[in-house]
Amino acid sequence: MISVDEDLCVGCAMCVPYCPEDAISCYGQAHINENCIDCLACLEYCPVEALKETVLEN
Amino acid sequence: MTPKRCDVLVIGSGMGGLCAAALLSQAGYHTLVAERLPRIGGRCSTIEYKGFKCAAGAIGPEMGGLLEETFRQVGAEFDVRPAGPPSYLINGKICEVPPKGGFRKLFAAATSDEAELERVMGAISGALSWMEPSRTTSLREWLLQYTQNESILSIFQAMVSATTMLNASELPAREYFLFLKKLRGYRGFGFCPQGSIALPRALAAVIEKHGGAIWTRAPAVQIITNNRIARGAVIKKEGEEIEIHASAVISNCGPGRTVQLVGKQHIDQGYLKELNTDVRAVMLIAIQLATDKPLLDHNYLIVTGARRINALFQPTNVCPEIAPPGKHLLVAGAAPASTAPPLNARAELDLCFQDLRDLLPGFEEHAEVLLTGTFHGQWPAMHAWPGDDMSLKTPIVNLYNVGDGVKSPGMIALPAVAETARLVAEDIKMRLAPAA
Repeated sequence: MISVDEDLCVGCAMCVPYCPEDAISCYGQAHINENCIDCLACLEYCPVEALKETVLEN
Repeated sequence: MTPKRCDVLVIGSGMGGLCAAALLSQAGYHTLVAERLPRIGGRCSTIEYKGFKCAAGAIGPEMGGLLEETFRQVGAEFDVRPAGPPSYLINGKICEVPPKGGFRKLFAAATSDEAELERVMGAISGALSWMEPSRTTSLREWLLQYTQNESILSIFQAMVSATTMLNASELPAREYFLFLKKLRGYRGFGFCPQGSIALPRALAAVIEKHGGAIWTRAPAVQIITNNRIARGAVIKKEGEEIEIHASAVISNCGPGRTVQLVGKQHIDQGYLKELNTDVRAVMLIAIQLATDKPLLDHNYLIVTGARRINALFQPTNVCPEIAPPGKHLLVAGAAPASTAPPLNARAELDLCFQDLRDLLPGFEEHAEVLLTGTFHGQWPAMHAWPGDDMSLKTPIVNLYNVGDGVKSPGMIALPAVAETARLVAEDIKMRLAPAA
């Protein structure tokens, strides 16, 4: 799944348009909702590298 | 992989990097631009969203100034449609600003006290024609010597926060008057019918025409130095780390990131101290709205006396191409109460939306929020407060910075960035010859 590093995220919303599932909202910080399909499309568009792919244990 | 070689390596494809690369490739330097993101332009770019060409940052490039001059010089198309000058909203009324006597007209809308008006006009005239005030005084402190009138103070607050992106209580008075002299208060500006990305694209075309290259999805991993001389950089591309050797390296990723790429251990202590104590990012809030009817009669309205919003743009007035047919794009700009971190983003945004509901009749029925963006930290409005910039040269020989962290006094935004590129290109042309 995709997670937002809150220390890095500036809330610029640059990632929002690149999500094909409308799963990112941004109001001061980016927030990923349950529509996320882990396509990773947003990752490379974050200008501050705040979006990360995290692997859930178990 | 075997190292590659170019004359000039530019890290980052923001407007500073691309202006420098275009100027140098036109002068015969083999130039490579490496951009980390998939999209060129940095904070002067465009994101397509719901059929709108939304701005990634810069929205109203200056016309008739250094930026346009740079485009003319390198033969790049400057696709900008005039939209200025701005109008003002003062005490609920619209005030149009004539080319001459603008200040007098604005103040007349804010006070009926002739003596007060003359006092402020006299002070401004002295600061423009004789000597700028000290940089130790903020513009607000300077003004309070001549007027306590909140309407006049709020005109300055809106004017400077919309243009220099600092509050009047933060901007050194000296910077404001240098800004008026150098950029004439940013009166001549326009919008790009193809979105702001048209500008970086036009420069990229020039660079490629002269044999240069632009790589996207290509982050710099390290700037290579040897005995405090820049030798190139390691660029990651398609999973591979490629060593690029270059006679000069131009960094367009902000002075702080440049130091990280070099490694602090290679940098002069005094430079690091200056970077840590003097350089602060400028914050900005930009809200982009889709509307189904024009909610604003003006192209650019500077809003005085609101909680946070200082400017409203409706670029679709002159560039309908940037919205789907029948739709309009409205962009609101705001400065947080304090441009110093930390940013309380949610509280600031709430105040912005309260302003929008007050300022735009029909906001609830006719506007849809496209993007709500806060700019600060590593993706700021500008990398340094006006007047606090680092130098173009770094302690590493042949390593330069360009962009809005190394502006000259009085300069802001795109013209400032173009100027940094011009100065760096001139210095390189003077010192280093292109390989035959």
